[in-house]
Amino acid sequence: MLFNSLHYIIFLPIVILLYFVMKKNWRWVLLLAGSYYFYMSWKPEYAAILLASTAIDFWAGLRMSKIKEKKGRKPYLIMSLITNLGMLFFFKYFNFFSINIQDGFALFGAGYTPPLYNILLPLGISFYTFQTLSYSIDIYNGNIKPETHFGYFALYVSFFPQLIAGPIERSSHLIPQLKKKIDLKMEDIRYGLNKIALGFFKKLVVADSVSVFVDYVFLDLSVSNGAQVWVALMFFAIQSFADFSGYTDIAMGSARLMGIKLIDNFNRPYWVKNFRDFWSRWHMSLTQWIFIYLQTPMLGKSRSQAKLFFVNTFVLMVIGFWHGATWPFILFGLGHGLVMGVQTIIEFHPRIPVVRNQIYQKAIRPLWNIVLMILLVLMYRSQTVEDIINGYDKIFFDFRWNYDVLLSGFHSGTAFLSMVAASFLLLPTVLFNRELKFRSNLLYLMVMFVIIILFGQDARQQFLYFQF
Amino acid sequence: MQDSNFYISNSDSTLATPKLVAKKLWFITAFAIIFLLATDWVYINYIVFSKSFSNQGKVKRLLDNQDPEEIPVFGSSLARSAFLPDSISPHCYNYGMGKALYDVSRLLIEIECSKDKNAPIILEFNQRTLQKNPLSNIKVSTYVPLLDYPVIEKFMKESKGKNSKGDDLTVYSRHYVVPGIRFYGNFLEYTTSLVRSKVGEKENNRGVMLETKTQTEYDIEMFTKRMNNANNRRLALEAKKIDPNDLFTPFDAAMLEEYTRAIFFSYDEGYLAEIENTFKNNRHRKFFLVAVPMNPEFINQLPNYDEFIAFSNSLASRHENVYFLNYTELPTEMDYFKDPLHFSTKGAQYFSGIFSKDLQRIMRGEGSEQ
Repeated sequence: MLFNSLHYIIFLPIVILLYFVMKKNWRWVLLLAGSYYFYMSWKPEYAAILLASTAIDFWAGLRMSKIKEKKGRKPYLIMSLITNLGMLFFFKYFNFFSINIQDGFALFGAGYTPPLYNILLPLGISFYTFQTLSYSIDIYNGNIKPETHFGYFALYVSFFPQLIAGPIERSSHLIPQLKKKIDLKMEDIRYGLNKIALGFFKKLVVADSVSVFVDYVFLDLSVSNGAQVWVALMFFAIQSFADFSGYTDIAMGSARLMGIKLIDNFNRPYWVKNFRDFWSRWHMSLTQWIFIYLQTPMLGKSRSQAKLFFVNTFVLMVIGFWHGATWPFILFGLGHGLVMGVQTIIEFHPRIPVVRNQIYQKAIRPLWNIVLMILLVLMYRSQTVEDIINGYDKIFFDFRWNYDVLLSGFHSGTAFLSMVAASFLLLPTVLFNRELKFRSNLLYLMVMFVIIILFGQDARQQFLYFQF
Repeated sequence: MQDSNFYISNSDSTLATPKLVAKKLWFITAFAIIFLLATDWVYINYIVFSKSFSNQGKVKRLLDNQDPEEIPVFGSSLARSAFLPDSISPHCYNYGMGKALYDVSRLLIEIECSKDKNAPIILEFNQRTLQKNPLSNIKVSTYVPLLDYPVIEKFMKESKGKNSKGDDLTVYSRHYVVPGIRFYGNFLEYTTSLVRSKVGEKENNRGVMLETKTQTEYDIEMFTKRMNNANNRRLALEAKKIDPNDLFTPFDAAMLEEYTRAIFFSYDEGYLAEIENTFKNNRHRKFFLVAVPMNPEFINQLPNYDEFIAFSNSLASRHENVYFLNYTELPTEMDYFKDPLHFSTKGAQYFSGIFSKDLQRIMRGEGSEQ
């Protein structure tokens, strides 16, 4: 079920109404049933994978809690890792490795052909896998106690607002809220409605609008020109933020209407000091996960500059690979890792002077980071390495700035101008306070409603992060 | 709590009683309903049908117009850009619409043939006209404002296809009859059409917007390259399809089908039977199937275009009231096109003048030179 569907607009109020009407002890049953219904409305059979992952981690968690020695808990952790990462590998990465192994053998003249499977990636698998893994690892490390109620644990894994595209929640944050006997509060309703309205605005008015030009240019990069690629990349940077943060807003707002607070994923990510700052503000639930469960163990106690450089680069490549099993995603992570590494060296090198000029600090540096991000986002959007080469070739060697050249082959100049207008409409929303408190919430909701109704697209498009 | 401007307390301790929630939500719901209905009223009365040459304006005109002498032109954007009514006949009206292949034109032909008329019908005919595209070509914004007409409602309910993501899609949806939400997703499109018609040096000539823009060498270069790339991708997918060691996914299959359809002439048997029935059942009307002039760069990219010409000639030869006029290779100049596919106003004037003479000659019973 898509958030941006009539189905969800009917589903959500029904669930919320029943949630507050129901006896508080039985709310988990409603939410669990609702969450599985939400998931199964896409492809019912894949609910079995979700359930299997849930059952194995629940059982492994209980077993680990009964063993005092860390060593004794290890087999259960390994079992959880193998099960979860195995499923993720099979559905998301198997074909990628098969094709590359085949290509590798072909390089040496060997004709080995590993199998390939025509399989559809289960929605949300990258998200709920990381969520359940964090649970198992935390229990293994003795950081949390296991959940003994299967219903609450299953709800933690499948809670519908964040099931498909996060935020990736930690059990210590979400399960206590699911168990809490929450009363309906005006503050929750206010925040929930405001957040949902903001999410729909970002998705329907901004992301779906600018995606038309992005899709047009990326359909065949080799026949685009530098101006088109530049503008498409700017639009894509806007689209990816509006799309994913819009999803997160709807998720957070939906949960909050039931009094449940999900962690936020974005904190004005584009206006930053450096790439390290960017990754601490973009998809925060994922980067925190990676920081806790991958980067920190890899760094260990030794924190030399060189080790930091290599670990950070590797970690960002993993983040890139998490987004999709293609070389462009890996290169995207590598690019970010290298830029971050170079920026760190420049920042901390004793012989490189620190520029203290306020204009540089507050304007030039953030703008420079935006330019670098736009250049790197080409890898994120490209389907193949050939596309990346074509894109950079156009940007640097085929740049002609002219309105006719910019719109060459594109069907409508008016449509293009409406995309530019939609992008500008996004700007004020970035400056909203985090609690979304306005002098008149009614006015805010009315304005949002009017904008969404008049300018919203009916593309019935999936959210970008559904594919990850 | 300041109820006057609906300021809700930020205190977490403010419990919301059902009565309080109902009071707040009632206000929002009432505003939403009033706004939706008011917007719907403004759009339907002042925007949606304000320009007769918009798609919905054309369909409405066709439904309402009872002029027995009107000569309608149906077809895709090729028709819209090529036939200049002023140069053809004082009774000619151009109903050409973007992407209107037979899945759209069949409705317009059905409406036209239901009228008590003898005037000829002009159908722009190209190598894709009778193809059945699984991705629906039907633009709902054209038909939603006209659902009061039974023929439109029937058309939408019977039309099915897929959306760009490959999901099965029924063109008709129940919410299209609900005032206020029926235009959701299309408000901007209606407004944009209106703005476009008012901006620049464009004027309406019975269904045609005259534009001064002409194609550039760069447009042609990019267009040719795009066609070549699409053809190379098609060939690569063909190779992938037969390679036992490669994975040919449903997405690949859909892409291959799309690339193939774009350049190869093909037709749907059902559509062919349907159009032949229309010809047979309307013997009192002359049907002109017209292949409009094309950019030579485009024609060169179509591998079996000759088959399309032979097919069209054969189709016309089976019906006394059907004429196939092939102007594909009519000599053209660079500035006859506004982009590599569509005529500029200059090109439309040139072509329509020639077509008009042929039309009159055939109507007088002197036969066709094409």
